[in-house]
Amino acid sequence: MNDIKWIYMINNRGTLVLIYKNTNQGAIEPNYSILSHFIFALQSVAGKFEEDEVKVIEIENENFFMIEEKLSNSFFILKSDNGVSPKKIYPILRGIKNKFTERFSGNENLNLHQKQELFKSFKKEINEFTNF
Amino acid sequence: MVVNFSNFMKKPMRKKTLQLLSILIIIAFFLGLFYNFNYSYTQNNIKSPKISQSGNESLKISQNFDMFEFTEISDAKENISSIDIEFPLLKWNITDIELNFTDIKLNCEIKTIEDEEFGSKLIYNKNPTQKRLALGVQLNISIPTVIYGVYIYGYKGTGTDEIIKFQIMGYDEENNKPNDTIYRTLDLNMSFNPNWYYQNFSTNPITLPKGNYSLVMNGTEISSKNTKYYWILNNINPLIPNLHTSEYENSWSNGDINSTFLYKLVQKVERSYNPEDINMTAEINGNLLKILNGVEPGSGNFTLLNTDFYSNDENFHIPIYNNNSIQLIFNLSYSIRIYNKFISNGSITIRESSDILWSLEPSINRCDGNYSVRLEYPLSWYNLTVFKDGFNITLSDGVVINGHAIYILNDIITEGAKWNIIATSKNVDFDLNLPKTVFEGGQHIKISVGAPEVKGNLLFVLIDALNFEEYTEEVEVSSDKITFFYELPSRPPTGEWKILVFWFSDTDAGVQIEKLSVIVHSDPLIVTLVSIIIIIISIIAGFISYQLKKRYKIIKEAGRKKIFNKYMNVLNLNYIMISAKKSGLNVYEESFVGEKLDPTLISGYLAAINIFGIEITNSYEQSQTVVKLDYKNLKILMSDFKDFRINVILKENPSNDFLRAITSISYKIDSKYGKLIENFNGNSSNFIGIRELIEKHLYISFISPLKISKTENIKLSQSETLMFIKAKRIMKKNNLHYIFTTFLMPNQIFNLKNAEIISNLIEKKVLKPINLSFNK
Repeated sequence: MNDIKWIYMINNRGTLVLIYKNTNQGAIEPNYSILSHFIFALQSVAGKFEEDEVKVIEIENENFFMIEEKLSNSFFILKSDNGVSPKKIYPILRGIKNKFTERFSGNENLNLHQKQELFKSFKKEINEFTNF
Repeated sequence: MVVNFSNFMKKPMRKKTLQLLSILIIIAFFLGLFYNFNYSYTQNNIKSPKISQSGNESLKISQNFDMFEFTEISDAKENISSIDIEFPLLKWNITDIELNFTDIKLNCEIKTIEDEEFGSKLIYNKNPTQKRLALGVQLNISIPTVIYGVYIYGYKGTGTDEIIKFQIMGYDEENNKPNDTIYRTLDLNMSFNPNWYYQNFSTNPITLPKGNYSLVMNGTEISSKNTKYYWILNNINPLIPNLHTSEYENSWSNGDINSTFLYKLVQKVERSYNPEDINMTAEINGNLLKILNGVEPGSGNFTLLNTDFYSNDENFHIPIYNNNSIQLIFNLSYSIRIYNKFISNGSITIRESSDILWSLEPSINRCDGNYSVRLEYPLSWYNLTVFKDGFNITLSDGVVINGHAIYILNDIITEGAKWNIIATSKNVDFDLNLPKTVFEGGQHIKISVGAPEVKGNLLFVLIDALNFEEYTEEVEVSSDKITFFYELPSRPPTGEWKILVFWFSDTDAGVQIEKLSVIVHSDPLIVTLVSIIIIIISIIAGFISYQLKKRYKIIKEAGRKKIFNKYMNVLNLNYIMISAKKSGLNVYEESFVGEKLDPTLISGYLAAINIFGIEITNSYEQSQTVVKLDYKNLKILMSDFKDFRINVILKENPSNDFLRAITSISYKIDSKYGKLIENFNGNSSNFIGIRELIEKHLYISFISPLKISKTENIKLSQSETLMFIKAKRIMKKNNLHYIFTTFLMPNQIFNLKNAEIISNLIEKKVLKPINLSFNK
């Protein structure tokens, strides 16, 4: 789906992890510090999340969709163009969150390398949702 | 390392550079004096040609052109005696007149029946046996006539109060006396002096067919003996002897002839006249011209074609005469064709290597009627094009080009339209003779021109080597040979000069060009010396300029980098904690990323310090020690200073500017709070002011949540206003109570200019940092 620009995940320590980027966009790489602060800012204004609730912040021509994965206290943030219908995005974001839960719940005790491998395969599975 | 501009200024190189620059300026000044830059121009411009850089000279001259406008005035009028036709508000020439008359009649007249006084008769009522109560006279109508009134000659006697009647009555043909029919009656208008008195029936005139009638002074109602009315008569030699008069005593007497009361009729005869029967004429332009009979009786016509006389009046008056003393009255329809010459503004554009462009911009104010406009153009013109309001209408039905004339016809001429007629003609050739083509300063340029054998104007233009107009002169010519002279200044611009000679008349134009060279001889030694000096100066100036530019670039870049780092440092910031070393307690801490700070992180990294055996010893004497760690994708900075430690968690490695800022903060904290920290017992309320210090050095407002404040009385630049509007828009769209600066950075990419604008808004308190519950 070409309308999605990127999807980031923020883990429980506030670390930003890129899990999807639309290579067709060809955009300039955002600065990490700015992006990190920006995503924190989005979370701050979004407030509390209910289970499976997707919130959206519209900034100029872009929409930022957010969902919380309550088990791991992680957040997923998706950036898309303004013209995209939220109805298309909601199932994608929920699907990603659920996939993450499915993958990582119960795997907290894996070692770093195992976690990294798991995360790699998780990122591949993201394509199921983003490549329509 | 910090680049200090003031230090740079002290360097020896800079001083030498300034000295050298001063010398250069002085040399340049004296060179200027020495070289005697002395151009003077004599300008006698009447018309200035456009000197183009490409060398294609052109001249545009204002010119007036004659045009003609035509219109036909047609209308109809009824019951008129003379012709008055209103022309449009201009002086016109008349070319054709067509008049058609109908219902030609004689106008109202006064017809005298009898006017010679000889005697009189009296109306009175003395007693029943001595009375005369009415007088009557025959009125003979031979042609149907409208009677408007009657004049009668008489008077009333002294002491007469009673008013009697005056009547138009019928006529007893058998006995020649009035009958009982009363057509009109009114109170008699008569006074005490003998005179003509008008009995006015005009409010109700009567049309009497052919026949006999009676005019009666009716005193049958008289009751007073004093009442006396006298009607004067001619009983000696009446004009119409067989008119009958009668008297009324107890009845009307039979009429007597050879005696007529004095009366005149105000009448109009109801018959038409043929123009030729009454010698009807029209006076036009001082001439009496016959009006001919029409087909119908009482009608006529007049035609005058292909004339041309001038009317200087808005009202064209045509008197109509006939052989009657009575004025005629008639109905008229007419058609008059007129024309007027007017001037159109325009221009001629004479261009080298191109046809001449003629342009007319007539101001056409249409008149009533069938209106048209004509331009007669010379044989030499072609490609005639007519524009109306910018549109080419040459091929439309409203434009006719015929026999070297353009006609713009009635249907296409609208009020307020902008007109332009353009045409081209060939560049007229004429002779130029420039015997000499190389000149030195101070010499005379002489050129002769053989103008065409038509009256026109010659414009001589001299252009110097720098493409400036040096001299112009204009003369009127008519086939003569003209010679132009010009004395060059002593030091003119050297190189190729041009002579342009324009010729133009009302119908044609042309331009011829000659080129010449101007040289100036100079002392070779001086030239060589000056050239060498100029070269040396240029090399030195170039080198210095390069050095200065390079230095400036470095300084500017450093400045920009510093500003950039200021923003990136604060955006990089996650967490600050200041702890007292003795107790290990925090005197101050602040999170910039919400409450999402892993509680194990702090203890984790402190443990890391132990693991790596990093002991901060002797830090009191050394005043500051900085340790940097990478821990779980975060960067941790620890700065020990005397009795306290500043711990900073960052997203990425800090810049040197940030480290310097931490150092400054450390010094300031020590200065202000050193004693308090030494004796810290856990009460952190004394250290609230530390936030201000951090704000001053790290500009943490930039990453704080911001709320929008009112902007009345705050002056904002256009870019600040736009940014403010953007912030408001985002907040409104998403129903936010506060906003972050990174929301205002498109695509989450840092832009220094935008950051500065946002900073200005924060400084002007348009965006105000608020303190959410992130801090402890």
